[in-house]
Amino acid sequence: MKFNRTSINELNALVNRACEVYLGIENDFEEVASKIIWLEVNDFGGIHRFIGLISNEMRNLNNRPELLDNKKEVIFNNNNKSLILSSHFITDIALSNWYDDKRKNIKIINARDPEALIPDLLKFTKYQFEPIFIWFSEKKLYKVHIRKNEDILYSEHKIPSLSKNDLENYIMLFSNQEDLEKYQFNPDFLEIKDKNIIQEIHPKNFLSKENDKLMNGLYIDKEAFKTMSKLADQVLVASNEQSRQGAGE
Amino acid sequence: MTENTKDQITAHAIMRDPATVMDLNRLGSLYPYKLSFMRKLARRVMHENWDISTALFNLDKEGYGEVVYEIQTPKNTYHFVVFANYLDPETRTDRVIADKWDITLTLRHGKFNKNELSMLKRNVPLQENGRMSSNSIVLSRANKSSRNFQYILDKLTSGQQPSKDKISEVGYIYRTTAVYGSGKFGMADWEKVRTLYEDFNEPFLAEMFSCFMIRQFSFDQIDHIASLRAPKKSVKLKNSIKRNLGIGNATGLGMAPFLIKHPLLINNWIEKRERVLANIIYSTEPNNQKIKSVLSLTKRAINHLQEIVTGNHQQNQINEDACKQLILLMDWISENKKNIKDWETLTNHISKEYNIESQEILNTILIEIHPNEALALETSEYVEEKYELRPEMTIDKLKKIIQEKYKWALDYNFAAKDTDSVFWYRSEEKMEPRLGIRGIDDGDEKEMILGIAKNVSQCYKAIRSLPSNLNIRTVAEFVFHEPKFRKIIRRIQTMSETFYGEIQANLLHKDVLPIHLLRCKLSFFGVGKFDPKSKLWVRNTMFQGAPIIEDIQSNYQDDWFFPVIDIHDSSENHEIQ
Repeated sequence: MKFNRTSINELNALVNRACEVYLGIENDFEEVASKIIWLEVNDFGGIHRFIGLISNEMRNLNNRPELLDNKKEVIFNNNNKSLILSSHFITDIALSNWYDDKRKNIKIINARDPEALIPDLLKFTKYQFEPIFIWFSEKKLYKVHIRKNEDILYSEHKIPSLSKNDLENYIMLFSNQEDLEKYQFNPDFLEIKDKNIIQEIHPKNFLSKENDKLMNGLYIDKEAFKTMSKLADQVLVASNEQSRQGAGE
Repeated sequence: MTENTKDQITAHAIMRDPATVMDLNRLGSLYPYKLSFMRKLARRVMHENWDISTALFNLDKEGYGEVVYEIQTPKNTYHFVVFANYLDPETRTDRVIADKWDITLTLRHGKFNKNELSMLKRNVPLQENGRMSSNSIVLSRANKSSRNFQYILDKLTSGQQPSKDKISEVGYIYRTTAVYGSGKFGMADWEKVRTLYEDFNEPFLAEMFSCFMIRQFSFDQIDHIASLRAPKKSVKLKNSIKRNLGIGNATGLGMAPFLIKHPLLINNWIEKRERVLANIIYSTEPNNQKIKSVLSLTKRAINHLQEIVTGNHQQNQINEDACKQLILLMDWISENKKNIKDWETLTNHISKEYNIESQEILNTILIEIHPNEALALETSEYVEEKYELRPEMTIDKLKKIIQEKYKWALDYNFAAKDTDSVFWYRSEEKMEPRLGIRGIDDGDEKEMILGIAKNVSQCYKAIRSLPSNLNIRTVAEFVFHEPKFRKIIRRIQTMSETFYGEIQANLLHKDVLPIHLLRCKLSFFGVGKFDPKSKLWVRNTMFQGAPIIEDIQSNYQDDWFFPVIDIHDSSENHEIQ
């Protein structure tokens, strides 16, 4: 596979233009672009996930999840879409609720790309929240805890004994560890939640990834770069003699 | 309340009103000042005694080939690499869309070897089509001034120095047409430059330094060609003349979107200037020496303006009017100097009696004669450019912020035809920003989002029209209901905590003058001698009057404010011997 080395800033400009084309000015495309960049810089494959979206999904300017409020928790139905396009809607509501001391937990159903929540949740630490979210996939439990100073702890756990139906297909977001503890999970879950760790990514690993990309740039495979450029170039307007006058000629 | 917050509130109380300062006409009347980036860079180079030497000088008799300069600062080693090639004069253009230039160059960090030179040789001349390494900081190109290059070369070859008149007419040998940094084409990200290469840890210092080095190359190249053409008869360009030669620059619409897209950074630049000015006006007092300095620098400003040669009628008129007003001002000061007990008396007088151009010239003079007050604020506070949504804010509070901070935007009537009759877009030719006329030019469906006033107005209207039965109380609920306003609300909320930053103008108006935006940014760079070629682009001169590398290690006088041609000229025909 051949790669293009790019700087973060250059990739940021490219992704912003691509998102502007894909999402239109009807959406906060810059917010979406910043999530893609965060995922890419932190080795969560932001570019490939975005290319997956643009190749497989019909362009739909409305990416809002459905909001199904209830007394115990706020439920969002993301309609099997990627959270890359919609997580900010959810975290906006979460932060606003928690700030107002409505400490409702957030349940997200039918959502893909849960890691897209991470960049949105970083700013929560400025509000003294240390949000934590979990999801289940392929007999594994994933947990992300954003702690003081935007420290991120990401862990992956094996959960062989739980049945798939109990746990698949939803993400739970809590304002802190305490709320997670209080939540009425399947008792088996509480048993395993801090055990059977397959993989952990510590704050220093995240920092080191970001620093490495800052110092050396990112390597994006050429085909992906080409696909992104092709999309991004759609913001450009064809040139002619008359338009050149608009540049001062 | 912290001491810092208190200081900030006190400073805000005496600084000028944003409605005055951020008016587009006034921003288009700003001049370079003590803390402009070029001045700052020159102080750094001179005070730290940067060692600039030639590591490779491989030019043929026509001046084509490559030159590598090594720059040793107290903290780092850099190389400035120039490739000079033949360029058909027919294809020489200042436009960003050009694909060939007289010279192409790069500034890079670290050690250097032959392999790297060949890699750079393959990529630097391609400019936007090449790829750069992560230790490259700046990529740029420049063209010869067709008017000056041959003239100066002929003079040096024949053993003479160029004339003062010619230098006054065109104050440079080369003119840059684009200077790229901040991670473009694979180069080092700004964050890397800021944190790792301390010498260039403030915005645009590396870009300014590259222009300074292009100027040096222009001297070295022209001396070299002249010496090979007439080894016995030729002379080298005198240092006194070199100081009066700068580097030309052509700036077009590309700079305009930058000012709109980086309001936090712009706020930082403008607030610093206004804070220095307010400190001087309200904390220092005039005395005989200061009044004398004001008069002397006003005279210099007049000379500077009179030396500007431009074919632009409007700019000539602006310069002439300013000169006339400054002469009147000098008379007024001379007559009333005993009554000028505080600077406010002077600034109030000039605000009432003179135009914006003259007001801003006086402001830069006041800053210039108070170096301690200015340099106290020289170090920039780092601004993290984040425009984050504050979803918890109530809609009532947001509405109040818009009413208070964006009144200027709400005053436009976007239903009127002229108010929304132009649009900004990116051309497929190197993504060059262009202005189009709505309904006539193609591309308004791909419009860039530069109409801040319009966006704020639309958002405000949407808030006011919210049906009460929706029970929307917070910003989070509002942007969930109206996602298209999330971006502008992030901006409004962020900028509401700043004083300046938003340029208070409607960039979609039929009569918008983008040249004011260009001049504002250029003044912070330290650029002078504006020569507008249309309302969309301007030629200008950088580093005219600045020290040259031969001056490093000498006693540096930071005094190239409103530079005037300063060459002892004793010959009858204005030839300098």
